[in-house]
Amino acid sequence: MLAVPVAMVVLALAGVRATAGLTLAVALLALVLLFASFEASRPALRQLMPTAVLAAVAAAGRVLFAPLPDVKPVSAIAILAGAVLGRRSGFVVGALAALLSNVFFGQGPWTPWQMYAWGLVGYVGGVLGEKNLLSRGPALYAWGFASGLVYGLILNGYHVLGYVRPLTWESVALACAASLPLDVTHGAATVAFLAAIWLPWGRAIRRVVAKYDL
Amino acid sequence: MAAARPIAFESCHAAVPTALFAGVVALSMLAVHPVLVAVSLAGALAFSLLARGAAATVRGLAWQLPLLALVCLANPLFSASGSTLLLKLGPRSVYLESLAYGATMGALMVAVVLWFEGAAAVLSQDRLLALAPRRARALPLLAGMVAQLVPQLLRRSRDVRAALAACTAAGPRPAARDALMRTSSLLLSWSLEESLERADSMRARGWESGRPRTCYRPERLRSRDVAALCGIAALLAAAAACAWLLCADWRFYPRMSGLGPWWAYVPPALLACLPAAAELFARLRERGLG
Repeated sequence: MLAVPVAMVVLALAGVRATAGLTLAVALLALVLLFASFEASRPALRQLMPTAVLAAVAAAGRVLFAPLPDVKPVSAIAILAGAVLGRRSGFVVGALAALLSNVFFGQGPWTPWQMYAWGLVGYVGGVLGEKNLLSRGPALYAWGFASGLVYGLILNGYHVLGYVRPLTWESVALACAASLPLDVTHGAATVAFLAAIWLPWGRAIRRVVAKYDL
Repeated sequence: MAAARPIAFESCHAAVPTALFAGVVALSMLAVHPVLVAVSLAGALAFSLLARGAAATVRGLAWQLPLLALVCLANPLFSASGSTLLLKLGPRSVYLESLAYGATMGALMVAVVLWFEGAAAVLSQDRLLALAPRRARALPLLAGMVAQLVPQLLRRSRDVRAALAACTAAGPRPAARDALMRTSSLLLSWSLEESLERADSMRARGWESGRPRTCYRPERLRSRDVAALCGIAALLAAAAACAWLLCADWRFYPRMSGLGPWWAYVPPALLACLPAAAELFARLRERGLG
């Protein structure tokens, strides 16, 4: 399912003029499929509520940190949610946080891409968490840093593929180089947020899990 | 004076404006053609001016026009090709065709943003949730919960910080980072516990009890909504066919050419004008009634 947009981006390199619309359609399709699989897993109400709370915290954190460009806690919270609640919940937390924080920042054609990118960050966080890789610091911080770059790559890709023509490797490299400092900031901020919240928030969540016998 | 809000689609089912706006946005994004993009931008601006008011539109344009200029200028810098040389900037050449492509894409982006804003004004959150299929239960609930929790969290974070700041007997004030961590952890456990209690109380009131429950649906699909949907679908199909024809002829590089027959512009133009025309018609009728 996650391979769909990647395959489409490769196809788009063939040079279709309406790439902006087509890749948007594929991103939307991937979102719908992943949401449908979340819906089909019939999550219990007691599992839904922590997902909603973490998505809301991520969205509120993005609003609170809005004055600092590219310092956003959304990736870190999506990774935490994926590791604690499972990969599908990680995806939903990232996607819903993007959708609902854009109520404050403005919706646009970038909304599905942000939803997809942050959902992917949370989903991979969940996959890594299930393989028990995130309990070690370096692996956690490595994915935290890489998530900033992945997020930047997806959002750059949507702009470059859709809105720059004719497409050459030179123009792609120029666009990526222009956004690299911002992506590195985002990755570093994600690492900082992960370092700050991983233990205390993990403790708070485990405490609630023990108290309510989840 | 209260902010202007659209009234054209108030009396019909939410599926009608959803189909119209989704179709217009899809067509705008897929048809990369300067005339079609200009028509779509004009339609979006007209609807925005009529439905959201001049003040809100101008406030939006204050950042959308720089965005247009940025996308327009970024293209010739990232990709140099075309046949009409305009100027040379150091090692890079700026061509008219490349600039025109950038301007088209910038206008497309602004048009899509304007359509999104118009759609957001027409389709409030409760109308969108009413569109969700009956079988989908988790996601509408989640979306509603999160939308309600975000402002609540922002409000509560002020409460928590005020309470912590008022506790001066507990020693020196912690550093900004510690204070932030403490506030966020408190907020998280507060919201988590409350959400689980809410889940239990929802279960106690019969949620997920397994028996089918009736629910009140404020939106009903009537026959005139079906007729409107069919009309929109027909117009969309005609506009899509014409846009396909026009885009197949059009070339940006090496030289802009291939405008196509004039009649092919009529259905896309009608489609782009439809929301603004519906809004104008509804306002005039309201005034007539008053």
